[in-house]
Amino acid sequence: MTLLITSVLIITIVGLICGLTLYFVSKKFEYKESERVMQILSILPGVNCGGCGYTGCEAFAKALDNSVEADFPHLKCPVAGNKVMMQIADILGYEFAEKEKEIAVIKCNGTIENTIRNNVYNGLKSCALANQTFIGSGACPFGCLGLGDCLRVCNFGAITIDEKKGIPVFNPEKCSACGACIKACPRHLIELRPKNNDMLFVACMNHEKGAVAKKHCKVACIGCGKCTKIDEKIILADNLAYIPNNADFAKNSKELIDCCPSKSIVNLEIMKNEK
Amino acid sequence: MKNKTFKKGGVHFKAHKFTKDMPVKELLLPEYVYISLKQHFGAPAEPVVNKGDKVKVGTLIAKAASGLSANIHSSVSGTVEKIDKQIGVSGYPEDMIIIKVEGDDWEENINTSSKIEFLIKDNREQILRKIFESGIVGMGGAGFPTHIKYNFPEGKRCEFFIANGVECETHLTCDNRLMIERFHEILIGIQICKKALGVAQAFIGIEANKPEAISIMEKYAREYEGIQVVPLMQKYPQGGEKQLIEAITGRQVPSGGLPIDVGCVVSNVGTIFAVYEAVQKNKPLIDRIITFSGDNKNILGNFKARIGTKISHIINNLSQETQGVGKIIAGGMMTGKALNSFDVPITKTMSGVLLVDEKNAFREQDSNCIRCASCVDVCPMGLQPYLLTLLAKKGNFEEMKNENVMDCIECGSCTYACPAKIPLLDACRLGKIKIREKK
Repeated sequence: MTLLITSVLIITIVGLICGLTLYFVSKKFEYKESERVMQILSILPGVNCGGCGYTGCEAFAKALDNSVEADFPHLKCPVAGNKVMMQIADILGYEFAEKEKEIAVIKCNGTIENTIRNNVYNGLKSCALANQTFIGSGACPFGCLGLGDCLRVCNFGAITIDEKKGIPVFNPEKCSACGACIKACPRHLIELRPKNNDMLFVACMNHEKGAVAKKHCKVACIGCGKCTKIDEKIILADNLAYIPNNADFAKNSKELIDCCPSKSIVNLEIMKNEK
Repeated sequence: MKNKTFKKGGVHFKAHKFTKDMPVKELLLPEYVYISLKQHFGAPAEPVVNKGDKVKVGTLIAKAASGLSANIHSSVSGTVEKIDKQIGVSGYPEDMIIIKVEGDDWEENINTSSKIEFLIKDNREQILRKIFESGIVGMGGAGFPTHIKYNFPEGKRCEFFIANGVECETHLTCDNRLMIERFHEILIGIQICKKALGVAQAFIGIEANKPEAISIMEKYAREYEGIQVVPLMQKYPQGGEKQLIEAITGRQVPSGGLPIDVGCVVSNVGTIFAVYEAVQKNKPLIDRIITFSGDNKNILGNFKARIGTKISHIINNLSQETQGVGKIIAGGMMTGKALNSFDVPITKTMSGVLLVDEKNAFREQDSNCIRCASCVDVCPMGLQPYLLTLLAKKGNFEEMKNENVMDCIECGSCTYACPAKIPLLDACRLGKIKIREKK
């Protein structure tokens, strides 16, 4: 019995000594993050996605704390959106200009139905690796490989690969436009675009001549230039049309969709319903 | 005495050399040839001909770009049809010069007689210039421009020249046939390379499963000064530069180093034969020997094909059916590359075409790693493929670099040995790609 009591006593005393030492040391060497950083950090989303360009939310909060007003428009948390950025501007005492919400879109519509798929890739599921030697399941050297590098880097679960389509599908509700998938895609198919229903984009990245591109894929941009006649802001370069963000979407939306002979000009609605 | 080999790792497998007794056959000329501008390691060559130009066999059609590059010559005589994009060995559309074949008219300065030229008249500079002008690249598979390899930097010293007749890959027999049929040319070629490099001693490494080549080479090598035939134990990947140097000289190339760092230069016997033809006969690199093998027992043989001939032309020549082919591989089973279709033209580095049946074409489903360390045992570079694969899956490429993934020679021994069928080599390749991207 005495053995039990002594051992309990010894453990208690040792514990007390250690606890007190730690308490006083932590008091003496206490490191206090500045009030503002803690405040900003508490309203940031805290997913550490890196979409802002910093290593995590804390690094971003520190960067905001150290910033000057002129830099503020370039510092942006793509996940949090305008509301949170407005609060941060309040904390920092800066002016805030509202930004349009963005969404990631994939500029390829090479679904199983639209392409002729002859090739089979049998190795490690990685687009970066396959891109070195594998042209794709179809014959388009610019199209989506469908091996899912983008969905593996997505922190929000916004990307899925539809079995019937064979290409990634972006969920507009979940996508927070952090841009991780843009860096992951070895064929540079993903782009951030303004999130509204009138927004149009060319769902193709094929630079081959019209006849060759058409052979590979039903919905390939053939570079005919019809859309450039409707809206002068549309750029046609290297057999591929590109619709810049400043194009007048609201005015010409329907006309542009109808004019494209290969149906490669799409909006979010069409991409969603595409089978 | 036991045959020499390299110390670390390696795998033993059935060599499947079905074509080793089949003499090299010349092929009929095709109607069109498709000559790719990128058949070598480095920058693509720049075309110097235009649509409608008449070319002869051996006419320069593309000039080496600055830096790492090589000349490309016309392999047929005829008219340049166009310069267009066609699917090449890389799997992607490549720029190709398409020539319509009209007759077989050779450039005047090429010596087309079959007489063997024994006397080496040229000096070192002339030899190196001829190698450069003839567009010779390493014909074992990597396609490194030979003139750059032989022009090693000042201050380095080359002691040994090693002729690579190992051919450790499965199925391939083109080097074996070349050594049996053109032994004199290869031996003279070795003397030329020795002169170009300024070395006294040369070795020819041949694996023990080619007894005919070894006996012929040993018999005739005595007539030449400073050439020694080294029979080697059969083990893959002995044909790799670093493994071959270790097997023959016992020296190890340091991590990230080149063979010249240990005083060696290695060339494939196919390259040496091309050097002989370039220096003694003024003939640029326009044809090569290619092995056709695989599961289909009707399409077998060693052929001398002009660069740019489509594979489909050779198969049509044999008038054989290709039904049931599930995979076409350019090169050997271990290091070769799967092709998109039969319409891919032959390049300077394509040593074989293997046709694999549909039932063998797919990889088996992989399962979990059981930590048996088979991959560590067989890795000839002393890496830990299982660890690299784990790191690649986590995306920790920085740590992969610390684990020396850049030393991986992509021989595929780990994937071959893995009982769980994990794509270990793919993961190592992915790591190498990501690390190169970051640079």
